[in-house]
Amino acid sequence: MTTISTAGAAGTAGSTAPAGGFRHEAMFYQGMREFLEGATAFLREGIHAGEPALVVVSADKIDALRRELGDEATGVRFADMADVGRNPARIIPAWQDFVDEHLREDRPVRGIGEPIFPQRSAAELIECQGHETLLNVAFDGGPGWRLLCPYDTAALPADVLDEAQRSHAYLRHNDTYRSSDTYVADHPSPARWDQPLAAAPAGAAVHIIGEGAGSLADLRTVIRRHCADMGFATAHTGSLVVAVSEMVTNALVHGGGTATVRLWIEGATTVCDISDTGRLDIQPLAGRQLPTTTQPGGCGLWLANQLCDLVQVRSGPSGTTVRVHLTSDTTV
Amino acid sequence: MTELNMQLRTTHDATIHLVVAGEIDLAVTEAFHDVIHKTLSSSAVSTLVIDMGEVRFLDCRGIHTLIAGLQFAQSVNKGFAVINVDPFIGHVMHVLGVLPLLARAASEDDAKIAADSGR
Repeated sequence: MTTISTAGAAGTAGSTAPAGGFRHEAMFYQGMREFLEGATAFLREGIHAGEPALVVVSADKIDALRRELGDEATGVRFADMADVGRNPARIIPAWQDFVDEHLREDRPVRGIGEPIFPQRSAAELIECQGHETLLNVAFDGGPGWRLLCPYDTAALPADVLDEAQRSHAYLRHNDTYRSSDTYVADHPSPARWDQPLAAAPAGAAVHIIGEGAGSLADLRTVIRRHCADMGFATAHTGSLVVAVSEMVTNALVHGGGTATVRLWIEGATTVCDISDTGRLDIQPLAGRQLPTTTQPGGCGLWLANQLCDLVQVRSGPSGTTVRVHLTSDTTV
Repeated sequence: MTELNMQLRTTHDATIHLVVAGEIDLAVTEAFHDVIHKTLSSSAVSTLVIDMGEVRFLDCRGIHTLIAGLQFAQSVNKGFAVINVDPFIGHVMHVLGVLPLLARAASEDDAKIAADSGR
């Protein structure tokens, strides 16, 4: 386990946060008791200052926080991370909505969000780490508000806790509060997003879409058949068909005209890679901001994120791959 | 290939129904766009009603084509409605934040169509 240094030589130690712009804070805790102590102290400070608050954590932590806060919880909104952050790319839009609705020049807001927990799959974890970095891109330079991200030091591996110190400018542990020595302020490409995805399995079904090969309509037929074989609910089938069709359309229009689609199953999850030879040059928050009605750009990625459980985008000199994950845990 | 069937039907004075069946994707976006704009450009047409009842797939570009059609109709002071949208396609419109825009267009024109036909 990583040692979380407290009032160290570098960084400013103290018990209160400095005022100003967006404050992205990691809170390191061990066990429910420490979580509740840290989270309720942070929330009470806001409640007493009349600041609206949103808490996005697991259902059991929401229950515990409600019990702990009692009547004080009335002004605090709660949302289950299992819903909001099932696809971590949906979390920034949720914070953006909250901030847009409640933040005023004379009244900041605060939030608690725990996107990273031990049950996350390896693929989800990488995307969550990217999400943590993108929060800085989304909110730095904007109006001031505070977001506290709890990290369970007893359950998460050392490299995850190290990465949290790179993506959060401020660190809390028990009563200490300090700036992070390793925070990367200039927002490079999010952690490990420069690494290619693990190769698709050799047994994946391969479909080539483009001029002289299969059509988008052919591919949708393949996806619908796959979903029927998997026993997917109608809405799940629709979601996968739309997401894959949109990603292939992007490849056809921007990625050199041909898309290679690989489809396979990992347990109850269907995974689909859409690859092309073009290099993607999009702004980092693409797919995390609601597209405008006049600009079709970014719509496909937004839709894929909203409709599917995980969307991973990797682009380099040899081309671009978008990997879409959809788990069918309910059949309707 | 993508199959899209579009039929124009005059229902009563100056209101035209465009009955669309099949799938709307990259391969047919241009054709869909052209029919909408040509129809709205006709001086004989006051309202265009797009009946989506038989559309089983509509992508982002298709949705933007509808929005562009609505905006064009407003710019030439004509009615525009999208009706019989499949629930999942409605969900996709909702996710893109354009459902209120298209639903409002539908309800305003429903009222207009009802008023025009004396109902």
